[in-house]
Amino acid sequence: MRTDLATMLMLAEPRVDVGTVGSEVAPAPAVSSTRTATRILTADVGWNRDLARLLHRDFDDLHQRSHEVEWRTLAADRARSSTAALLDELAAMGFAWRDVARLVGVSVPAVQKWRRGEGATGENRARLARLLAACDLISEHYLVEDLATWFEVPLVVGVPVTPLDLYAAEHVDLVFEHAIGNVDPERLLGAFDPDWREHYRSEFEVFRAEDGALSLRPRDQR
Amino acid sequence: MSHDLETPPGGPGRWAEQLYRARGAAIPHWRPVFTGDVFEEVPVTTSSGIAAGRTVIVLQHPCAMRTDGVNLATRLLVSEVRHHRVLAPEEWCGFTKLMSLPDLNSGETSRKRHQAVMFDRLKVVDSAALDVGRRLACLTHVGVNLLLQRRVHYDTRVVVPTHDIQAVTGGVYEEADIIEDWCEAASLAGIEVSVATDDCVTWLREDLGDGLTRQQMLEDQQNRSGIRRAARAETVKRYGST
Amino acid sequence: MTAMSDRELYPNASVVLVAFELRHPASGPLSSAAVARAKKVLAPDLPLLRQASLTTIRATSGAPPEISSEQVPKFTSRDLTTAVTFGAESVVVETTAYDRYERLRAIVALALEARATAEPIDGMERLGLRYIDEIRIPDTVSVDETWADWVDGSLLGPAPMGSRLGLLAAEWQGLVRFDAGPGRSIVLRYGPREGYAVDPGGDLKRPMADSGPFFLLDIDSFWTPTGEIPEFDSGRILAVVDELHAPVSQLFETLITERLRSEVLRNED
Repeated sequence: MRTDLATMLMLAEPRVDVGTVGSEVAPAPAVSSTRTATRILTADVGWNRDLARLLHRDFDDLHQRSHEVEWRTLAADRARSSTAALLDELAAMGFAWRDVARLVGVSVPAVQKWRRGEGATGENRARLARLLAACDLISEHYLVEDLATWFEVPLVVGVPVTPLDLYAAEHVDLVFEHAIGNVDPERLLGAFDPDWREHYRSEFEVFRAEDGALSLRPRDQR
Repeated sequence: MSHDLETPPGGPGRWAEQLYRARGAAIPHWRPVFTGDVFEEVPVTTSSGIAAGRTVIVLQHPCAMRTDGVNLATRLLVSEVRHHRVLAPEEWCGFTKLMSLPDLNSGETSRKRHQAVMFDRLKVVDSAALDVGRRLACLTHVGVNLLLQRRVHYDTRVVVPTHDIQAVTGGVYEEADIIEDWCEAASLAGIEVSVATDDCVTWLREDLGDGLTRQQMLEDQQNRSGIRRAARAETVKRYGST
Repeated sequence: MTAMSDRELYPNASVVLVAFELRHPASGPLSSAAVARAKKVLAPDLPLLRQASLTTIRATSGAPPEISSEQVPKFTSRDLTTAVTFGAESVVVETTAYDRYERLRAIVALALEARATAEPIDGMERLGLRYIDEIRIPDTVSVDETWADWVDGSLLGPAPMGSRLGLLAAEWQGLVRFDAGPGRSIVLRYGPREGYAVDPGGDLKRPMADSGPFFLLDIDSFWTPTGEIPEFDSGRILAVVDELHAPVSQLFETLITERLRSEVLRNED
């Protein structure tokens, strides 16, 4: 069962200065707190704040390095499967064939040929394996259950840049950072496209017209 | 920065892969006819009143192509497609009466290789005359959005960014992909494409409660992968594994 | 208790985030159809839907800590100041544009209706209402001023005593849990801080302020069942939330000085 952050941190192996003879001192009792989806930057009393900061920083570095190693290892493992098996798994997750084609860097007809049993080159099979390995890593570590949806949802509301776009542009590092979830998505967008605010500024809004279809109209400028 | 007519992403060397989902023999015949499909030898009446076969591209908005979700409207709006040199990247914000279709005829080495949509050569054709066996190209979603952007601008002189157009065409494009996958599975089981299309549309329009349908849910990108999975499972149930 | 209509609304209020949380027995992630049903209910006020990450750090003695994250649907207003998030074990309603309790209550009621429409919830394990204030003093105030002019002396701890001994209190953090009746508590976290209490880079747009010193007042009023876990009942939830809210503003008003009220909170500049 999930418990509050304060309680969880106090159980950690201390890597900070817990004060003079600190390890002999009983920690303050845990206090229940109303949880928010927004990140609160002020941790609870005592040395937990420093520990939280240290944990976050250590984890950022650790995750960056370990991701690359783990991704390569998982990809090598995945590459043992046949092209058909790799494609079946992507279909079972709910990926669209056009997105698989884009993520692997081939045409939709190429993917359709593979599905009919024609072989893929070694390089293309390796790319399929790397895609599945990235999915494995994200789902195992960050408990993302519906990966295909996760890949299709924009990083920031109102800006149509998705993890699919990052991956297709070979910014897999940004995909992993987004999966971690504690990085400002606007910073990730800036790393992907420094002019994103201008590129995706919109004077139109979507609305449902009288006939029930989605339509566009100029935004109300008032 | 004000918005302008957009260039396909990736540079001239990548435009063909960005614009075309498939060309020529690579287009499965069970893919439903959609905005941006290019057909050859379609009977049209020329400006001099003569009937002739022309290459055309479907301009009708995806939401307005079918009367019942399955059958094409009797008449469809198209534009002629003619040979034209490829526009340079900086030229895409001009040349407003056309849209370049580079490498449309990738097998050609003559000037027929590159074509362009001519917005000033609009026609209305019988949809029955659009023979899927003579379909030259299907566009990607990027290609469809660019086509609609340029067409709207030609008609109204208003530039609508393609990311805005994407927001209203995403669901319908997804529907076409789902129908294509469904019909592929069905045709491998010996079911006719028209019957399979009908089955798929009926399934998409099934009332899930409070008038909500899978077709409506496709409008929201967060629902799409779930519906794809469900569609694939449904085809396995009906037609067996492929 | 101060009646809702009698409470003063400050033009330059210090509240930066107000959150409501219902914790319930684990129900698993919502299906696409369930999310679509919830979206229909929330669409008029919170039309934007995205997947958000709820991150947990779990640390156990002798083992490296683990970070885990669940992807959950989050519905936000168009101005990105209000959001409703449905986790596997919680419903969270938050706003960074709080002006009156009645408006938040209406969103909580809508969130409960949407959640119940999506899929049933089996019980109520905790209800919480949390107000986070960042009290900031204008730059025009002299650097010699202390927090004693702006917040009640009880929040300063031994700092004044240290000052008499020539010891400058560089930082302090306080936590008090008040017993507010059967099953009810109010936790007050307080103390001077730097930067922000609420992440300015989060999903919700918050009132902007320069990063710098502020005094934190974090008032968390919550209820947990004293006996069995009761059934989900949105009417009962709203009644409990009204009770949780009632002492909060009185506590806040008691903890600030009249000078803060007149020179900062009522200042429209």
